[in-house]
Amino acid sequence: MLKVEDLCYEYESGFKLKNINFEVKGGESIGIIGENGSGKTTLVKNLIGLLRPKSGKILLNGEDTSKMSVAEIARTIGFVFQNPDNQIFASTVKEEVSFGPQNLKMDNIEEIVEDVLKKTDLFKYKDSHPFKLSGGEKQRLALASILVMNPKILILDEPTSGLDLRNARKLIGIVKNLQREGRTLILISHDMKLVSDLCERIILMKSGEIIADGGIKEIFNDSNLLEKTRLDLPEIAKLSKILEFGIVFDPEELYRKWRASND
Amino acid sequence: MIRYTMFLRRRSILHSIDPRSKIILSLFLFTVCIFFNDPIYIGIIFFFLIISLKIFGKIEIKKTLSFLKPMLPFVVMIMLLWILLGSEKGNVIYQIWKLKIKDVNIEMAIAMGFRVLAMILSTFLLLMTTEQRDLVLALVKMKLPYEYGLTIAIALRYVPTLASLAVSITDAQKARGLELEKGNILEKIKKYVPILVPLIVKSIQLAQELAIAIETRAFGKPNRTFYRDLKFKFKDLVFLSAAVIFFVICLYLRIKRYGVLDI
Ligand SMILES: Nc1ncnc2c1ncn2[C@@H]1O[C@H](COP(=O)(O)OP(=O)(O)OP(=O)(O)O)[C@@H](O)[C@H]1O
Ligand SMILES: [Mg+2]
Repeated sequence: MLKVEDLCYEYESGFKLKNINFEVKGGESIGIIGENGSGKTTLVKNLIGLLRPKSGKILLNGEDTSKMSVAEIARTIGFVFQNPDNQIFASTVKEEVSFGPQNLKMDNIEEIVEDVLKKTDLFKYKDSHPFKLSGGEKQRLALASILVMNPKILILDEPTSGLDLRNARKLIGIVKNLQREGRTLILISHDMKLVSDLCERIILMKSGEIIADGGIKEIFNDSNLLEKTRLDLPEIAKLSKILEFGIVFDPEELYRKWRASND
Repeated sequence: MIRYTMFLRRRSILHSIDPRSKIILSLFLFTVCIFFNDPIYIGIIFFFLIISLKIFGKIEIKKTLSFLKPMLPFVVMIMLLWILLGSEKGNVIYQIWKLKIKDVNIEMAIAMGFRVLAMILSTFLLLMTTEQRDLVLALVKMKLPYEYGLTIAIALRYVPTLASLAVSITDAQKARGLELEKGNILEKIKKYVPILVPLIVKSIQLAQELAIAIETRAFGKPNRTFYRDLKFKFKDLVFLSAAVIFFVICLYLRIKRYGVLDI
């Protein structure tokens, strides 16, 4: 679905992305993790065309994206920005969400907008002013205004930062529904619990390079890697590792393993 | 990345001079550029500025040129206007259709190009070697009311912040399919609404936060003292005298009509 070949990028400040290679299959959920400043956001901006690679290729369904505009890429890859305040401009929630589909000249805008508002639990606010929404609701509005363009791949950059537990859970619930629909998810987060909750595969970045790419359990089991990148595992994974059950994220599974080992 | 100031930290004579002398020097240099219209004279001033920045300011020539680069379109436009619409006198050296290109106008275009560049450089000389807070302090010490000084400081400080905010907002809207390049002029203007609204809202929020911050620091209390002070030292006197002598010599040359071409 999405293939990155030998991508390199360099900011004027000198920070570099070096030889990025990976492939994303339809329906996969990938977590991109790494320290602050390791280049996660930079990589993703290259994927959606806001930054253009210095060398290397990005293939989207086999087509080279270097000839596509950001708007064209946006039909397939939706990127939800960190800060919802940076995009709210309309005077009603409905109008705000309609912006993308209008730009892409989609059909039945009214219908899809209502549908997305229902999915993101914002329908009751459809005629309210977006600035009146709470932080959690604004975050969902940002998600809705991307989802409405029906992208096959959804990229979320720190979607739950600054949200309380209730709003974070609500958002995660929405994302899980999207996964069930078969959408591809790329999640950037420092919250390993969230990553383990949503993703099976991890791309680990450090200083502009991918230093590991694989199943989440394999990577969380690799003590060398953890040491090198100072990753903090979810508490339950730490416990299961100490108990020598490998990496387990589900409390019930851990309990079952523990029972089995006691018998 | 967008730079916060033009200031470049170096250990040099120009950096250590009292900012008040530098403000005066800057004004002198600016005025002297208007005195002459002989390309040789203005050319000399231009190269003198670049070389002085290197010798006395320890600012690499490459760096100075990189600061001048964004101004080039402006300079080229001025030169073209002089070539095409300059004086009626002089010999035609080339003619395309009704456009006559004359030798005097080419000469003038070169002079004006250097003049604009030298004028820009004379202000850059001040901005590249003086920290903003020193600049503002100098203006206040030169009897500018503190409120105005603070206003200038805030304006200088927030230009880059707002510029990078505008970039983030534009990126967010592009990811929603906004295509700024497309459409006729009216449509293009309309496309800036989704960028301007969040920008203005954010600016107002910033201003409110800033007002509170200033208020909590007892702004407006009379008889304020300064944490940093400026001392006019002997070397500043030498520097200022040199600047005055330079200015007087140029004024004399101008009165005697050296470096002034009649066109
Ligand atoms: N517009 C820019 N111009 C120049 N350098 C930049 C720019 N944006 C980011 N950088 C630099 O590139 C590096 C990588 O930044 P990036 O935002 O991709 O990191 P990140 O992994 O997303 O970090 P975080 O976890 O903090 O979001 C950083 O060192 C940063 O200073
Ligand atoms: Mg980031």
